[in-house]
Amino acid sequence: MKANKQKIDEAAQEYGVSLWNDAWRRLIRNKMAVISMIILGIMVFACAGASYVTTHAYDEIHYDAIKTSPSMTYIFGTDDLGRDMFARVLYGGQVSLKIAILCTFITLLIGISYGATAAYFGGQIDNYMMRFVDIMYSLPYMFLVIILMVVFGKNINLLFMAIGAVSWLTMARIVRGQILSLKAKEFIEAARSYGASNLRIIFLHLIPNTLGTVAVYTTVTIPRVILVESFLSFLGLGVQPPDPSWGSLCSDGAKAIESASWLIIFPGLALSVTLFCMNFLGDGLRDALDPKMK
Amino acid sequence: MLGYIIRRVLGMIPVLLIIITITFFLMRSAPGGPFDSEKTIPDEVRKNIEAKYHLDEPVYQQYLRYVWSIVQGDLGPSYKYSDRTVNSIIGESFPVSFQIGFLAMFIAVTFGTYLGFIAALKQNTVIDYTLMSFAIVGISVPNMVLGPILAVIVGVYLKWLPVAGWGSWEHYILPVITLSCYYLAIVARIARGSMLEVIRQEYIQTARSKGLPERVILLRHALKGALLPIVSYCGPASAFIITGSIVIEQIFSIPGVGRYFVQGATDRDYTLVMGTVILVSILVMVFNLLVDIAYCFLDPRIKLHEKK
Amino acid sequence: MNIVQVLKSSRIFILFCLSVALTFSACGKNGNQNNTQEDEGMVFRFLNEQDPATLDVNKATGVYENRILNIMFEGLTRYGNEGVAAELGNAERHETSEDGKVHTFFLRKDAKWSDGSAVTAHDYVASYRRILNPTTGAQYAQMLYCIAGAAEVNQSKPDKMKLELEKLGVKALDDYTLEFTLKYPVPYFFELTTHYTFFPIPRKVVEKHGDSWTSKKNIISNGAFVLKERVLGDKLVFEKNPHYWQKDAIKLDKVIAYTTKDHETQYRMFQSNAVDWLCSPVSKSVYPKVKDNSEWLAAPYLGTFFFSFNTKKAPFNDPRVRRALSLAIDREVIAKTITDAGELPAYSYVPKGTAMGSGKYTPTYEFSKNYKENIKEAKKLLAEAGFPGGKGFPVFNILYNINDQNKRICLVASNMWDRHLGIKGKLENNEWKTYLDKLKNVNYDIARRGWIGDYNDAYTFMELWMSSNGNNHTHWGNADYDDKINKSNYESDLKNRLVLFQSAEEILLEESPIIPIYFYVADQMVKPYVRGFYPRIQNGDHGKADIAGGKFNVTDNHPFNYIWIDQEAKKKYMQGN
Repeated sequence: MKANKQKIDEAAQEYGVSLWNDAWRRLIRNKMAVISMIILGIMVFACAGASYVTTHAYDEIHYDAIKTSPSMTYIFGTDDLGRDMFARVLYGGQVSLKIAILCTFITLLIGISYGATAAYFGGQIDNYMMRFVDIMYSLPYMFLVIILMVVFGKNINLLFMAIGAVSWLTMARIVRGQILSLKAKEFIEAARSYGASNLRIIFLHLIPNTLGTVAVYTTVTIPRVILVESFLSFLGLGVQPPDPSWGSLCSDGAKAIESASWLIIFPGLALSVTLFCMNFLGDGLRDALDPKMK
Repeated sequence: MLGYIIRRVLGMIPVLLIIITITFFLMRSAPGGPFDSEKTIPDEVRKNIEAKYHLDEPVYQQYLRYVWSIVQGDLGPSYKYSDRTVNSIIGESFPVSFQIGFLAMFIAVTFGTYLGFIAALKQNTVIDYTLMSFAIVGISVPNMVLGPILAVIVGVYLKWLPVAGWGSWEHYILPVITLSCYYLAIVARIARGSMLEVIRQEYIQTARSKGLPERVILLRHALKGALLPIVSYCGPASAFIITGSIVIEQIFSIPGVGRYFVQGATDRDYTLVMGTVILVSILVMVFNLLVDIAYCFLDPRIKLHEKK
Repeated sequence: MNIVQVLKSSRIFILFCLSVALTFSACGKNGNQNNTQEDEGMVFRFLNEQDPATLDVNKATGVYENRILNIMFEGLTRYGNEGVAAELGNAERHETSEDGKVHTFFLRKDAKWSDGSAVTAHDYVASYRRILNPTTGAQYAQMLYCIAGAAEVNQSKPDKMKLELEKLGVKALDDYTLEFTLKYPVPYFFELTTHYTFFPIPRKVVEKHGDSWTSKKNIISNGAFVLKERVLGDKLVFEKNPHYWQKDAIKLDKVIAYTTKDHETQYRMFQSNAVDWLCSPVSKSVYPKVKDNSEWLAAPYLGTFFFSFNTKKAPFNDPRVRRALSLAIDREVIAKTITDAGELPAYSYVPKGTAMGSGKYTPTYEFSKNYKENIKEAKKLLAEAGFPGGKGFPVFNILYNINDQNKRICLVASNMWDRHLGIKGKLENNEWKTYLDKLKNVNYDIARRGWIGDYNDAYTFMELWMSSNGNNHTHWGNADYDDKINKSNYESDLKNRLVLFQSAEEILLEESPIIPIYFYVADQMVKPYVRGFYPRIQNGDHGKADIAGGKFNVTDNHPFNYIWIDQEAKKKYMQGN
């Protein structure tokens, strides 16, 4: 009995270790994923080091260069106050990428463990935990944001909090659904009958099997939160003018689509290239993490 | 099963009460009130107006008064639309949002699932890459960009459809397409991912080795398992989509309920906000219940009403 | 893998889905399809931008309500033809007493409500008593405060109201004679009565149905049109009132007011000929082509955009600092590159074209238009105040509310202050009610604001800066200023009144609790086949001839009584498009 338990644990552990090693190897073999990683890397470095990449300031107003189309001086053109769009896109990326990374982190951390716990224990615990999710879904988000601003003042960390607070909900429900189905499977029964601890079962047996779905849904969440940021900034929380973000650049630019298309094209391009890369990377990860994929 | 459903429905009442309570006090602590406007009114007059709506009472008393009126099915008068009740506003606008949302969700789920499955079965082919690229575009192009582009091309230049408004079947087409694109793309991506996982499961391999026709395997065996995460996603998504989208409603000038979520908050129209919150929370709970029931059909091993 | 089979079976599935979707959308059809124009007669379609919050003339507050109520109701006076500010409406005669304090209106005997009953002086009295009644919850009752005893009624405790009502200066001398007794002579009272707060209510209907008298099945009105349909968030439909006393002069059969909020959507509706009049076109800086469109026109409007200071907070408690900041703004640049709809840079405070009796208000004091000189002086003033080159000047907040144009004006202003004076401002964006809350509590350093005149007289602008005014929000007060404005109320000589206002404005600009930036324009787009609309587009001149000739209403009112559609021209226009 004891020997058996140990065996299963060892197998699971080994499986876990080799899973990550194999996954990495498989990921490296995926061309699209590697290219995506490189582009993302360049994007992150360009945005983080924006002050080294461009000599223009993102907030300098040029009254003589209002809405000029892309040229040698302003390679992405200028906006309605004559500010350099290239600099604005780079600086805007700082906030938006931060949000993308942070929300991915929160979504993964809270969403997965919350959903998994609820599903695994089931019954009343599941019921209470999911009702809490229902409550979070239903509360009037705008008031929440307004109150946050009044109580804590305006700062960028608050923005992250406001976005993080709701980004994990659907992830939790999806993970819960997967695990409800998984936990009835034979290999879980087996692990349980040999007395594996709950934590071990959840984190070693159940969650790895949901990672495919998780990877896909994560890539879906990212564009959403980047746009939520622009909505919150619009309400006054978060990024304050003249500071840019991709979300707000896009929503401002979308209005000028007829008269100054470069105002939407460049931030839009930056956003979608990032998303494409994240998606291909996500797909690559999904394939790489899939234990049945050879 | 029936007992479980009844228990869940009864369980909605305390949850709703919690939501109402939090929302009520949340709203009251936001700066400004429903009768603040750019042109200040004399204090005495403001007090008179507030007294008319019982806003001069202590907050807890207002709260009790409000809960009591909800129990009677009355959501109260709107503060902004002073000759309307919240019941009538939601009663008029919700059916509109429901129709648009239902159509959009229906299209998103059916086509999204279908395209996702095709992509999965043709993994790493041109078809797969094309479909998924479209899906990524669909996810990353926000409605506020897609909607105006469609309206300008189809409405202003081609003159095939009205650019905005409400009343005839033509008015449904553009908003439904705009709204469904985003959800379709998401569903397609989830569907592809889950299908990829399912077709490698043992029971599918077993079915194959038994020599069952591919069609039967995919439709009878794989589909059920692959639908699970889609259903998980669609539960809350449906609740939100049928309560309207403020972006879609603004772009196409649709008299739906979505606009009141933001407008009610900016106007501090407490009763209207509460009405929308109650609407959303009931729908969220109902849809999540439906999702849980659907789980049991998709995977008979899932037991929700187990007693511990 | 046999994909073909899968695809085949799914094709049937897709067809099924499509048919379900189509059936469903067909079911959703409300039968309200676009009928041909011939069936409906002459229809005028316009964009009201928002739903009227209420149709109750006693409770309405804003510009969206104003437009709708003027379609349905008619007061003693009304907005006149060809941009005339006011003419007799429901009243056929108007008399003023020697001292200007008693106004008597004689009502038309043929004026009827839309149910056929007569409009009497009692309906007016009932309306005024209701709007002033503290339990009604009317937010705009202040418009009536010039009537003797009105403020007392409105501000009384509900139980003491009866007593106050006895003293109210409005009386029905008989069924058709209405007498106002005013607190002081109000030279613009005749024009003031065009405002919807002075409209009558059908007192029998109101008595019967209470607050729900405005619901579609209850409401009756006395104007040129009656309500036919009201879909919240979509549109209001009006038809000609068969009982209107001047029904033969009304050419329109039907008016449709769309309540589309989004400006880009409105613009698309106008472009696709779904509407004839667009009240507030898209941002001109975003759509510069709009200005080249001959259907676009922009007339001066009764409003000023300005920044205000918290004059209690250092260093803005020093008038020299405030003046320096005011001088450092290049108003020309803001009007030309930011607002861009023909707004006039504001070198003084009261908008150009504001009426003063029969004449127009003219300022005696204006900031210099020489920006370079202004900067020099600004630097000097700032140095005198103890901040040479902006050294030691604290970082200050610039409060504004969510709006793209406001944002850009604030950005430009802070840029100008930074560039020329070396002082730094931080933008603070807030949603509307939070913004109002901060404004009211004077919880800001500098705030962007605007003021739209309630009626066409300089008083509506001047009274704002009296220290007792509830809309002041700056802590600024000047005894001399207050004194001059108070005096103007009792000044029956129009010339002396003008001088009082001019000298008060001088004090205001000298002390600079505010920085006037520009005067608003009312820009709109009108289809060329619309007639009886002023300013009017003739030969694609953007209505310039009418504007130059004063044929527009500075309060931006366009009476539907006179509007009609040239069907021939419309047909031609539609074919051309």
